[in-house]
Amino acid sequence: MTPVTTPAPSTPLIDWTVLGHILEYSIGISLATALLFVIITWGLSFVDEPGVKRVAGSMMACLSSAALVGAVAWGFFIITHKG
Amino acid sequence: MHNSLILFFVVAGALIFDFTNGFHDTANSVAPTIATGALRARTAVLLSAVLNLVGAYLSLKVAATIASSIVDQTQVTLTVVLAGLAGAIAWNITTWYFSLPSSSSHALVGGVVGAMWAKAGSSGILWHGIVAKIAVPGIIAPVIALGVAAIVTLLIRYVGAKHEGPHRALADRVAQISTLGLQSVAHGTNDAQKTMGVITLALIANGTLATGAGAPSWVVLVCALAMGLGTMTGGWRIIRTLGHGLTKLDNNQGIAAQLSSAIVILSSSHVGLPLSTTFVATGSVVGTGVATRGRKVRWSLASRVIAAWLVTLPAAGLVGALSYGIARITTGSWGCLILIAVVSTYLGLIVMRARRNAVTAATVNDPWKTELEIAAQA
Repeated sequence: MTPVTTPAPSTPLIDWTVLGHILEYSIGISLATALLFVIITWGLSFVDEPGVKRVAGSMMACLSSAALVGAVAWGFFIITHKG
Repeated sequence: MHNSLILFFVVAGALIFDFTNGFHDTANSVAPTIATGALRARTAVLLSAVLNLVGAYLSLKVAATIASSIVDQTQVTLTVVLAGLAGAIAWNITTWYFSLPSSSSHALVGGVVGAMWAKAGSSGILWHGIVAKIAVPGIIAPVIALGVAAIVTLLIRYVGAKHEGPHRALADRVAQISTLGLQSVAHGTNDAQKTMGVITLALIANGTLATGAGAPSWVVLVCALAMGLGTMTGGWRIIRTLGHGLTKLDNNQGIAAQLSSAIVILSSSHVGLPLSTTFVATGSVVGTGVATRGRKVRWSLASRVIAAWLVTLPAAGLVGALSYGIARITTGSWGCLILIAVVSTYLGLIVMRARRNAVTAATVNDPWKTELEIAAQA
C-alpha cells in the first residue's frame, strides 16, 4: 500500500494580503494626518477671535495636537516593538 | 587561539560594518529636513545619531533572522561571516563614494551569500528566503513609498494652500523633526539589531555562548555606539543626492517625503514586514518629485540608483566570495590577516579619493550640478 503524503505547505513569494494592509495603513494614516493638520490650523485661526469661538478653536487645536502627539508616540511603540 | 583571533576579526568587522551602515543610511532620515532647512545639517545628524543609538537599545528582539532565512546556519563558519562582512563593507564604501543610496542590509546579505557560495556551493543557500525576504520587499518598498509620497504631496499642497500663516512654519518644522525621529529610531532598531545578530551568531559558532543565547549587554552597547557614531559622521555625499540630486525638494516636498517615509515604515512594521529604510526614503523623494508640477526628477540619477540596487546583491556576493577565497589561501589565521589587509587598503584608497571632492556639512546644500555642468566648468 502506497503511503499517502500531504505536500508541505509553501509560503508564497509575495503575500498580497500583507501588501494590501501596508497600503491601507499608509493611505489611512496619510489621510488622518492631513485631517488632523486641517483641524489644528482651522482651530488656530479662531484663536484671535473673541468669546466662545476662541475657546472652541483652542480646544479643537489642542485636542487634534494631542491626537497627533499620540500618533507619533504610537509610531515609536510600533517601531520598537514590531519593527 | 586561531578561532579566537578570527572571532576578534569578525567582531571588529561587524562593528566597522555597523559604522558604515550608520553613515551610509543617515541620509534616509535627515536628507529632506536638511534640504528644506527645517534643521541645520549638524543638528539634524546629531539628533538622528542619538535616536539611532536609542533605537538600538529599545528593541526587544535579537534579529538573527538575517542569517537563519538566507543561508544554511549549520554550514556557517567564522570565516564565512568575516568574508561576508568584507563584501558588505566594500560595497557600502563603494556606493558611498559614488553618492548612491543603497541598502546596507542587502550588502550584508549579498556578502554572506557570496561567501557561503564559495564555501559550500548553492546547497548552503536558501534561495526561497532570499527571494521572499530580500528581493521581493526590495522591489515593493520603493514602489509603495513612491505612491504614498505622491498622495501625501498632493494632500499637503491642498491643505497647505488653504492654511498659510504664522502657525504653518512651526507645524512644518514639528512634522519634519518628529518624522525624522521616527525614522531614526526605526533605523537604529532594525539595522543595529542585524549586527548584534551577526556578532551573537559568531560567539555561538565559537562556543563562547550557548546555542539560542541572546546578545550579551556588551554586544548591544558596542553595536549601538558604532551605529550612533557612524550616523554622527554624516554620510554627506548621500544626503546631498537624496536632498538635492534626485529632485530639488521644496518645503512641501520635504515634509511629504519625511512624512510618507515614516508612514510606510510604520505601516510595514505594524503588519510585520519591516521594509528597507533606504528604499522607502528614496522612493518617497522621487514620489514627491513626480507629484509636483514643474519639479523635475533627475531620471538619469534615479536610474543609476536603481542600477546600484539591482547590482548590490550580486556585487557584494562576488566580493564576499572573493574574500572567502582570500581568507582560505593559507590555513590558520594568515588568510584572514591577508583579507583584512586587502580590505583596509581598499577602504583607505576610497576615502583618500573621496577627499578630492569632499561633501561636508557646509557644502551639502550647495546647488546641484549635473555631470554636463561639471564637465563644462572643468
